[in-house]
Amino acid sequence: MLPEFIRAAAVAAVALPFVAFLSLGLWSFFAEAPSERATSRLVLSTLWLSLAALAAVAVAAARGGLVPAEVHVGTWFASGDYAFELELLLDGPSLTMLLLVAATTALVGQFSVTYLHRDPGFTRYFLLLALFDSGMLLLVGAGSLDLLFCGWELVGLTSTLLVGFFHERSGPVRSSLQVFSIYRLCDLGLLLGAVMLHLVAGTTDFTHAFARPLHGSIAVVLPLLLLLAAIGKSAQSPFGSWLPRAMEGPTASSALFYGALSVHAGVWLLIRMGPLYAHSPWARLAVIAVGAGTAVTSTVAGRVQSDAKVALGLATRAQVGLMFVECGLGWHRLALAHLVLHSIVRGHQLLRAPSSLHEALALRSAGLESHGAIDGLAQRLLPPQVLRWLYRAALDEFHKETLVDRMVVRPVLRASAWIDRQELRLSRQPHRPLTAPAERT
Amino acid sequence: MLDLAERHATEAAVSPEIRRIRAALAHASHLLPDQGPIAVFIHHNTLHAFEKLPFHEAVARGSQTYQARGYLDEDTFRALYESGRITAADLDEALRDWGPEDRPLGSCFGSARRLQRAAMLSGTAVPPEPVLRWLLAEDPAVIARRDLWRSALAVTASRPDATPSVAARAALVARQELEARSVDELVNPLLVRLCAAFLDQGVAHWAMPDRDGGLYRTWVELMSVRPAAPRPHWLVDLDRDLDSLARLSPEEAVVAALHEAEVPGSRWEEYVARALLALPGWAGMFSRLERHPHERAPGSPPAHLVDFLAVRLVLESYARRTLASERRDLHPAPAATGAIGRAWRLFSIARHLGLGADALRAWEPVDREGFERLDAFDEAARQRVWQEAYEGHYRAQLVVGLAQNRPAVVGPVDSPRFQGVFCFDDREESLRRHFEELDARHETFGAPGFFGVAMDFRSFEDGDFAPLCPVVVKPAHRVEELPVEPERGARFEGRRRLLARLRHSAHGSSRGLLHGLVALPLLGLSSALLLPLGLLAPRAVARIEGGLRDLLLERPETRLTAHRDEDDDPRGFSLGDQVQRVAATLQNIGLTRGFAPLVFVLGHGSTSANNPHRSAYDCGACGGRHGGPNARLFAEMANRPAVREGLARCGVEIPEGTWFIGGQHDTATDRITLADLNRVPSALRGELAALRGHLDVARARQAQERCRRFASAPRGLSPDGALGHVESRAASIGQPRPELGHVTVASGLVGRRALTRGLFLDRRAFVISYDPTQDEGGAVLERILAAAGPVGAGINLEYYFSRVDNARYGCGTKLPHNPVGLLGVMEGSSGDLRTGLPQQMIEIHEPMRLQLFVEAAPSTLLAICERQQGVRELVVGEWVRLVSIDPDTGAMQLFSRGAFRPITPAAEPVPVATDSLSWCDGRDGFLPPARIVGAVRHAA
Repeated sequence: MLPEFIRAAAVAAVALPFVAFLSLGLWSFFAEAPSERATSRLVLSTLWLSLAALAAVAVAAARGGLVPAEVHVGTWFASGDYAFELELLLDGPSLTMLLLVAATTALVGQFSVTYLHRDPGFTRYFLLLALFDSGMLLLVGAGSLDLLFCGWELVGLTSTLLVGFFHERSGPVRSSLQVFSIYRLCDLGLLLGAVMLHLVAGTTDFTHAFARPLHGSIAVVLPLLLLLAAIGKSAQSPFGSWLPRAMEGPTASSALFYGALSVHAGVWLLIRMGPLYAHSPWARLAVIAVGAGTAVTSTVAGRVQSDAKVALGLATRAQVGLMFVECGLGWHRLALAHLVLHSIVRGHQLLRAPSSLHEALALRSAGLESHGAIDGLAQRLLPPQVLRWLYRAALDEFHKETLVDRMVVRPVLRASAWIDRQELRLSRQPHRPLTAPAERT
Repeated sequence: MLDLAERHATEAAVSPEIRRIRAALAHASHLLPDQGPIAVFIHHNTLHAFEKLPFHEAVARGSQTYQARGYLDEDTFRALYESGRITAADLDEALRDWGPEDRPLGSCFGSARRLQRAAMLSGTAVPPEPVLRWLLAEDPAVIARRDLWRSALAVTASRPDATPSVAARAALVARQELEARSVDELVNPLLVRLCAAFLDQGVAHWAMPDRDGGLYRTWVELMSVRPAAPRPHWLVDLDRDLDSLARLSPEEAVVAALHEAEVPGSRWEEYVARALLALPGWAGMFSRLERHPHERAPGSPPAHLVDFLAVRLVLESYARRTLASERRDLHPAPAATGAIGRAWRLFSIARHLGLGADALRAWEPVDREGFERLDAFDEAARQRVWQEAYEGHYRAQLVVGLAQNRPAVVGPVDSPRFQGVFCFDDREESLRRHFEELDARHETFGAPGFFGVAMDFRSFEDGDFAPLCPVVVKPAHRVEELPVEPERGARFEGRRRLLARLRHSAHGSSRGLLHGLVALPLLGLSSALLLPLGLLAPRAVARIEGGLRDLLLERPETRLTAHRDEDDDPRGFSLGDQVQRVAATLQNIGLTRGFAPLVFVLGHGSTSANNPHRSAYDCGACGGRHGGPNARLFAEMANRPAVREGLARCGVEIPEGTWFIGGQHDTATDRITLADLNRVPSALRGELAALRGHLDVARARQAQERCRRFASAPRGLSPDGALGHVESRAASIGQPRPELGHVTVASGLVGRRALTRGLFLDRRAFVISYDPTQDEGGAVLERILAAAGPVGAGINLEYYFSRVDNARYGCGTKLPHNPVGLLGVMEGSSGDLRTGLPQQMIEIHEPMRLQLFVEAAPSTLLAICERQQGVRELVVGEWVRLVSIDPDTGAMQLFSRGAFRPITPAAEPVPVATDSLSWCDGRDGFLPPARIVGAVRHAA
């Protein structure tokens, strides 16, 4: 049993960033926007406090052998047989992840204070950072799939809003809408999966939900639904084309989300729901196929990119694909270790993405080229026609976006335009003039 | 489209249409940005397309062509007026300069000038109709003066409205813009990714194959590869046309696309310009690389603007066809119509002047006429007047400062102890001032940072030669930095390569799949250490890294291959050249006798972390690079006995006991490194130690002065604390403002140091040393202006335009920047290549033209303008404001509207302070010139 203050520390660590978000939000709403110093002090202090609390929990847990432990906070609501329990699950993996999330967010928050100085969206950025931190901590510390879903949604929301951070330009706004659409589509998998798990197992609590193995088609469908959610969040094929687009936000948030944390959420879901996959070889095969396919195509596509952030984004996608393969093979410990290391490395590299230009020049002056050995090998073995075909496909990221656009998006747009025309015809409304979107404020 | 194309393809040689395309391209390429690959950032006039026009006209043309603002907006100017930065006197003077004579008007308005002033101060810009309605219904200030509003309506109602064709034309233009934007949304992402991959110079691991045919040919071939790729919905017809497209040359494809879009021949130029200006950064890069192929690595694929245009127009034709088939009904919002707009303007003016409703109703015909003439005093005219007032205020402060700072006898320092030659960069102004405040016998000079030695230089660590001189000069000499002991040099080189290879295989290859996996544990450990430490203690990390590098690499002692013994050796300068270079520089700055025992020459450069625009902080006179090697070379040449003999024959007497030392000043960290110290004669070692001590004090104080402009620097920093702060700024990866750069620049002062010594100029001036008493015909001055003029004006104008409209002329905020190729930065994953300066570099800049004060008679200056075309365009077009200071009397005259006009300095005394730091202690913002009298002035 965990001592009381450790439980309190764990809950405080997860709740503090949300408290910061609420107080900063209410302050900005009812009074003048706070100064940069006040904003950054408020948010950063909660981030560092949260990290300190988690460190204390981890130390205590490691020494006393107190985990795995459930920390029950309360019941949000109950209806009939069902009750939404607010419960954290602290075990080895989740403590590791909690520490990673808290540390990375605090460091990027520190980076952002000078980086976003004098930006008109300073307060908005820190609001979203605090909300993201609470969402991500909830996601990795959740004791049930329901609570994980809440964290998942918060992360998706903040991700969208930070991609569209520069909302005075149309490019970021369009990219953020694309990101949001894919997130919603794939979150359907998580929602349906959670409902299904309730129906089958009676609870989504991680300590009880896997008591009885599933049978029949449910055993395959449920993991596949969860896989859909993981694909969306972790930018795997075929729904991964949003990742390069998401680089429209500030470098700091790109590093935090698409280098370090948010993009690994799918892997975490697979790790947590591991027991579900253990009994379904078909589901595991699907995970491995998705992961391997993404790893290979993203690596090839990444080799032709000439800009820093997209190249790093595709490299991230490829490594996450490898993590999917590891999860599919049941090597959860390895996947977790891979996740932690990769998160730190990629976050750091993305924060330093603006240096890529001078680093490349330094390489050139040292007489080194950036071509890899594999490229040389491929160029010697494959005929030029095949190389050119492969290059073109890689440049367009294997046409995934085009295919999704033509097979899904255009038909939907055409259908909605048709409905719009019918509505106009039936209601006989005079055509009201639309105003053009503002390009600059 | 393609049947016409086939017909064109079979026509003989260069048809008139192709000739017209070439002419259109030549014209349009002129309008594009002229910034090369960003590793070497060269400040230049952003509106170089219109540099032959006078300033205000060029700004108006630029606004029209680029849809950009050419001045600060009126609300900003009004706020500056409220804060006292612009006074009523400045405004009156600017109005006097702008317009016709003042005419008396009726009892309502008094005089035309009074009316104009009211128009400027009251905000007569008419808001859009919905805003106007809201103001009339809700704004309490407006509601309180309802009576006045009704009078204004009544009085202006009898004029007929704006003709309907104006409103229709506005709607047509708006619709065209919307359509263009929709086309851009489809075409731009695809085109950008194609251009980035094509122009890439070694960032991608796998370069685009077969690029030798140019962009158009490569694109068609890539699209033609079978099996066909899935196409976006608007490009599905492309496969059908690929064969015909392949048979055309790029120019023919352009012609065919123009015919298909049914553009009449007379509008081809305009259409081509518009198509190129949809992605000005990328188009500008193609144009630049076409004209300056040496800016790329050898073996790079050919870049031609016509290829870019051909691909763009072909893609546009498909996009237009798709959009035409989709029904879109868009009606833009109407602007406020004529009568209401006029009434609003009258209402604003009347409210500002405090007129009553009855007084307005009783206005006389002459009042009405005056008001109607205000139509000519439109927004552009008002902004011009504001800008002149804005500049006039600062210029007046500088005039009175210079006038009151002039010593009774203008001459050099008596028996100087240390002399320093600095670059004329505005950041060096404060270092020079602090150095001179330490002792009356310290003397400083300002010269262009390449110190007259234009050379292609390869440092010990570089792979290539790079020119270290202003961009307009082509160096004719090559200099290398070689190790004194070749074995140590070879060892260093080997270790450096090894380190680079390790780093590359760790970071660069983490993009590979399995390679990345294997490298992950080591990288994870290093990132887990470096990331938190680098963020929380950047200075310590930089120091440790530097220390480790020195320890492991052991940089050997080096020498420059400065001297050319035999004539056929391509390296170095011959003896005659050396004498000529040193003599020219020393004559330029007026240092031909009275040498101190130690003379140091400092070039400058800058270091910053995580900054693609790093080169924008470097020395503009060295072509956007570090000037240390030039200083070192100059000092070496000046120390050579044979050179000194030659100099004596030219009239420059350097005594035997004088020694020159070269070095470099890092403007970000304020570190000063002196070179070749082991060669200093033993007799001067004591003085050398003293010099270094003085330089350390001066640079610490300069850091303290700089820190008052940094919001994150704590108040009340000591000089050493300030040095620590600026070092951590330069080393921090999260700091987009590592130093101030030229953000404070506003003026240039060419003349003897005695005129400006002791004058606190707040790091706003390029201070160039020049002695008119040693320059009879003005030949020296001509050399100086021809070299320094374009550099200084380029820097000033780059900052001006990036400040007044950062979104169009500058490159926006640094936050979403994504370095692409080795060319520049774009926003996000497929945006335009951004040119100009980022938001973070120009935030506190006061956008003014360079106020250039030259100590020379007006006749001399006019003669130089006759002979030098570049200087003439700048001065006569009023891109810089030239003020002549008479060398004998100190009387000043401003060149304005074609002639020199005398200026009378104001009578109020200039503030006085004991030293620079006490003057600027604890004060933010720009400070007016002050006289530093406490410490020391030069004797006599």
